[in-house]
Amino acid sequence: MSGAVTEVALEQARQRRRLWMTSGPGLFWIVLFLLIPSLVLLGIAFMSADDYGAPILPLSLQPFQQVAGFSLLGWDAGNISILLRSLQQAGIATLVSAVLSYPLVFFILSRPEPIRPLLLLFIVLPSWTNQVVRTYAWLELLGPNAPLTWVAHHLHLVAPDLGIAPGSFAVTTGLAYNYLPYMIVPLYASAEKLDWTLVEAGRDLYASGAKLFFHTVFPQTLPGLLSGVIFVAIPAFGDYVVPQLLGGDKALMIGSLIANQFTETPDWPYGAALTLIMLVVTGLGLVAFRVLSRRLGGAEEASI
Amino acid sequence: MKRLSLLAAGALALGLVAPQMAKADQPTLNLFIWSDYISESIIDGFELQCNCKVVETDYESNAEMEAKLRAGGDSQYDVVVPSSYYVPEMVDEGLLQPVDHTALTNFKNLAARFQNPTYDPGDKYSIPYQWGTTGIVYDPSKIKDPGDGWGILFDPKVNPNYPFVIPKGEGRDQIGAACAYLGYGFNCSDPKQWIEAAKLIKATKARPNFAGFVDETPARDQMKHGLIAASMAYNGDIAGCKADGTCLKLKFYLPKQGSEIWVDTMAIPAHAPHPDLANEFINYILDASVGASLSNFNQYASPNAAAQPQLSGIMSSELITPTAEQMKNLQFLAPLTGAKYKLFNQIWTSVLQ
Repeated sequence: MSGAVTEVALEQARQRRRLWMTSGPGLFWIVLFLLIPSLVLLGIAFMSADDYGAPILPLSLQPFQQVAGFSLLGWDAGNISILLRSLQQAGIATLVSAVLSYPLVFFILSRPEPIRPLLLLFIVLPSWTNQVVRTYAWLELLGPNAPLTWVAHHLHLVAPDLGIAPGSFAVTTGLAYNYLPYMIVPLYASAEKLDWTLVEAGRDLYASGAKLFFHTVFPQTLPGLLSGVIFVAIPAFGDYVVPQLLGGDKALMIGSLIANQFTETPDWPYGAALTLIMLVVTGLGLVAFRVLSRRLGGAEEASI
Repeated sequence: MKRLSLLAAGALALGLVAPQMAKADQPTLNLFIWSDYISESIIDGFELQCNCKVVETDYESNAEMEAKLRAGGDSQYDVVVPSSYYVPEMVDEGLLQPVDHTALTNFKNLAARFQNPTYDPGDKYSIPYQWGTTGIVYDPSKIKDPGDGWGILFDPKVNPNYPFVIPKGEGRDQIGAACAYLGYGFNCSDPKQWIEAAKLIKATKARPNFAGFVDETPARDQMKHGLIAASMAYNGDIAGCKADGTCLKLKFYLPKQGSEIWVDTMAIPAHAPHPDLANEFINYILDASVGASLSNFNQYASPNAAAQPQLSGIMSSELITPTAEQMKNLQFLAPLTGAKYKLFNQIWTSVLQ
């Protein structure tokens, strides 16, 4: 009897050790590079700024007043519109990449099995080049002399001497392009496991194309889609390379607004307060997303 | 899902650039400098002389450089190149250490008018590197009549259609230009005038052909590719691309309403890892033939009097050496420190957001 107890205890100890060994490095990483910096940030957000924008005591709520839009020139709705604009751009980019991903994923799945990994590799390949370089390429593709712009001029979508970039359409394009692989890969993973007998059953029952998709394909690929939404929406929300290059920073997004507070117009406490707000918005988004995905039944696989 | 994470992580890891590694057995001089501002051969020459390695890192604006120093870079870099009006502010913040004049045997090569400047009495913290002007560059195939002032940026009637940019930077040049356009002079210092200038730039920002905030050197590159038609520019940047033939059609002018003349300086961060190497480097740049090859490379005027005889003709061009008439309209930006800096910074923040 006692032998069995020690055996159980030993086994438990062994499991605990294994748990620490496997999750320890990750935990260490998170504490060192996520938790501690976040705490520093939290501290800075409640400090005052000296003349050169560096954080000093006493503690102050002024950074949050600045976030709310109060400045030297009076109250300004600027920050609220920046937040809404970031949410909107991230939302549209996510939607566009999802819409583009479905046909692409099923195209890849329709190819013979041996070449599928190769096709998938082609999707991921561009991200081996630096994001800044790829975004610069888009700047040229959407500039005043580019063929795409010529088309836009003829459709009277853009004034004759201007380019598509910089502008909000260019920002959406850049964001959707940049994060498309992060939508395709998880979607592919769940589409690969699709139970085609359900689709065939639907077809036998004379379901229309749209009905067939929304009743058989969509629910089965939902977990992948939801993962993709997280992978695309969160980085797109905070991105600052694309809005800077393709938007010229004339319509700021939250990432650029934060970057400014640590470079061009130094004010660290204000920048830290903005970052906190961004983290809170992202966190709330994730919670809402979890609730939604649980209701839709894709929670287990989609949670990250 | 596991495979996906691996794929994504692998793709991301490959997308990152491996950090530069310096040879451990040699001392390293970490040079933090404006992009396109020093040639390989000058750096190679110094590496030979000091038996050390030089690691060059670039920036596009004073603000960017200062932000990096503030965030701990003052103990990473050995030499930085701030503009003259930035020096008092950086000294006030404790970001710089005095240069060692006993090591600067070539200091006598500097032209007298660049010694003992008002922004740094006694050349305590900074030594002039190059000097130049900030004006307008535009594409004459698009904008036929730019006028002779800042209207090309601020007056919708001068350029109603073509895309143009304004530098992002720290705002001094931009507010100065707007002040000059409004008739307050380039070096306006009254906060009321600053605010009026800020409002003008905000209104400019709302124009449909405003193509964003882009710093001078990247803006020049965009203009070479036909992406924009007008921008603020440094004279030497334009001389440089005219010399290599990549921007022959572009035109540069100094607005009559007033614009900036500046000196960029070499300075040593407060906690530089190799201050001795830094002083040796500054002395090396002050050498007559190095100074000449520097100007011949980056096409900016040299404050080095001893270097003048070796300059290959470019100095005589109006682009590099402004005429006496143009000099009258050029001003040094007055340094800003303390509360006044903070006020200015808040005004510029409101312009950018």
